[in-house]
Amino acid sequence: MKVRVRLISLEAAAAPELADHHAHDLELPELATVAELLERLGLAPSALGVLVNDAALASALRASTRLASGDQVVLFPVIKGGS
Amino acid sequence: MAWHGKVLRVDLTRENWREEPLNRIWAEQFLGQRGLATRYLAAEMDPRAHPLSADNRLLIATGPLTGTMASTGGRWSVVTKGALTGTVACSNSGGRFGAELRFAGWDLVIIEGRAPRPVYLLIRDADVRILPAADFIWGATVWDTEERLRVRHQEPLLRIAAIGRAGEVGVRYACVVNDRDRAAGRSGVGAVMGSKNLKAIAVRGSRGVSMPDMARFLTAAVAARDTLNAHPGRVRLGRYGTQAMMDVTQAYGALPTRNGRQVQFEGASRVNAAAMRARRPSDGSTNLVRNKACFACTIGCGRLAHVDPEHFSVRAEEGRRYRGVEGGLEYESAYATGPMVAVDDLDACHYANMLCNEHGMDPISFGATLAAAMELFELGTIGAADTGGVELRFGSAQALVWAARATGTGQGFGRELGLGARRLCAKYGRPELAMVVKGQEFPGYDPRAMQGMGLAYATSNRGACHLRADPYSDDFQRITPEGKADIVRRSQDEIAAMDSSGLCLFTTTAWGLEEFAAQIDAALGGGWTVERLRITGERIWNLERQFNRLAGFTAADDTLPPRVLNEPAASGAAKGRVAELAAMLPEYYRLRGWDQSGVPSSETLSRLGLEAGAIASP
Repeated sequence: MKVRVRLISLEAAAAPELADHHAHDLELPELATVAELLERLGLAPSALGVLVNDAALASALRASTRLASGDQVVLFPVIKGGS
Repeated sequence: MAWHGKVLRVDLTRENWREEPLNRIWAEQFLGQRGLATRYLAAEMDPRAHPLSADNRLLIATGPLTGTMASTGGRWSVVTKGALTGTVACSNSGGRFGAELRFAGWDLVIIEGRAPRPVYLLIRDADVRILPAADFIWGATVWDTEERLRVRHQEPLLRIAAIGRAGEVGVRYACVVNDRDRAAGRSGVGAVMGSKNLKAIAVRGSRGVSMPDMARFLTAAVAARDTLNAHPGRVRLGRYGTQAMMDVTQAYGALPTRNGRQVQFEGASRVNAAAMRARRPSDGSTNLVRNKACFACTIGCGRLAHVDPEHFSVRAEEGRRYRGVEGGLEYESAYATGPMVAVDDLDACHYANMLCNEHGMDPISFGATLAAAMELFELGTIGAADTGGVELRFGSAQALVWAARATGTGQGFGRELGLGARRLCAKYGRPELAMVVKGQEFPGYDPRAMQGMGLAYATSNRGACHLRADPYSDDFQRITPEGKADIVRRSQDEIAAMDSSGLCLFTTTAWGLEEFAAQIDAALGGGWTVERLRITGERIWNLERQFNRLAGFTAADDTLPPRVLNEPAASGAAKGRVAELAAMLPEYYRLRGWDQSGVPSSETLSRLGLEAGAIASP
């Protein structure tokens, strides 16, 4: 299945084509979970925010949340604000 | 130990000064900078005094690590009763001024009274002078003030903290600017300085900061620096600056837009970090020139940037002086001059931010006040007759540039904008349109998407603030209010201690209290642990709370604007949600050891050593 993935202010060593911060279609096995997506991209799961179809996904639910074809996933660092 | 043990007390009314010993007992209890200066403020002034009266104090405070080799050891603070809020105000800055003050041998400067005529303070080590500013720098911009002082005193390395025109004409959110583009930006500390007829403080020092055991201190500082250097958050801050945030708040739906009517901005990609790095057709250059670091900083989040030479702002006669490379947009200034007023013209945002730097006013409060004025204009509550013919509409880059100049120099409708959003909206009968807490305007995070930030805004002792708590990580992963009260309370205490150290909060991308404790402990000769920093932070927080209570603030002020409490977010991760403050505030009070009215219990005050006499009796 294909899911649409966009990285914000992140670089994934395993998927350099995502470095432009635009959305890309990514081929994943059927019923893949969000945690498996992060693993596939080589992204450390801590300090990472996840939006699936515009809804925030708590870190505790990533291993049990299965993606469906056409889902839109946005990944971003949970950075802190400043001046 | 790292303290010199010296306080410079300046009486502007009598135009004299004297040296005093630093109160070591208070330094043991409140550490330095924010905490220690607040202790002095609370002891010396009636919290009910008007912030613009001669009875207010203005404290220039350093931490024990200011001026040391610790990474980011250049922070200093202005502590006073805020002109914008009427609360206790502590506004923190970087650059090189704070380190220079320590090099001159001073830990703290206490300024009292009001000069009978405009003056500036010149400090060269122990040589302190109060000199006339009229016909010299009074009326000048911050940038001109810096240049003229260096020329007159033939001292190219003078470090200067000054107010611009905004501080002179009483803009309620005027700030104190140092090193051209660093600022103690929030709560109107520059308006207080202006009310004292004090234009600038110029410092040159020839001493260092001594350590009880230099080898031990360097070991701690180098270990902490290496931890920071290895962290991807540090790399990100250096590369993108704080502007990395805009894509995150935009994606999440936490980016206040059009005075908070919306939480995502359709033009965000034109004013974000990528836009600053995009080549423009006119000169093939980018807005961003390079990054910039403050004293001893190994992060370098600051931006140096230049406006497109073809942009309307710099093609105009009055814009010619802004063609050079100057301090560029950071997230908060970009949010406030961009999405909040719906302007997607990067150069106009940058230009307005330069005007804020040069005239000395907080771009967050300026942008959020302009956004309120734009909403009033679009509702027909104010019209072109009020603004002198200017169409104050959302999205107008021309209106943004005009408003920044008019406000910074106190001209026409700029006087109204200089009141801040709360006073402006109240004046026109629509107080609910001010996106403020305790009179201070929102930074760039919407409390409907970030519930913890909503609680942090509501309970911040200086009004709406994004730097008084650290709910970011949890807020960006969890949209519901459960558990936020404890996160906000704990991080408020930690940050209060960090703000008292002389180090920058941005180190917390990699550091926890452990790294702070190790360096503070080495600098102060032992006794400083993580747990002691927590208690110190809690003591500072409760002292600030007590100051505000005596100034007249109650639990009724721990609230958010009706818009975010009642109007659901229209899009993003929080679509359909409002800020659920009522679900968090009672738990927050309970965890703090306060009663249901938000009053610290006698047990809490006693545990923290905040006896009744800690605050000056009226």
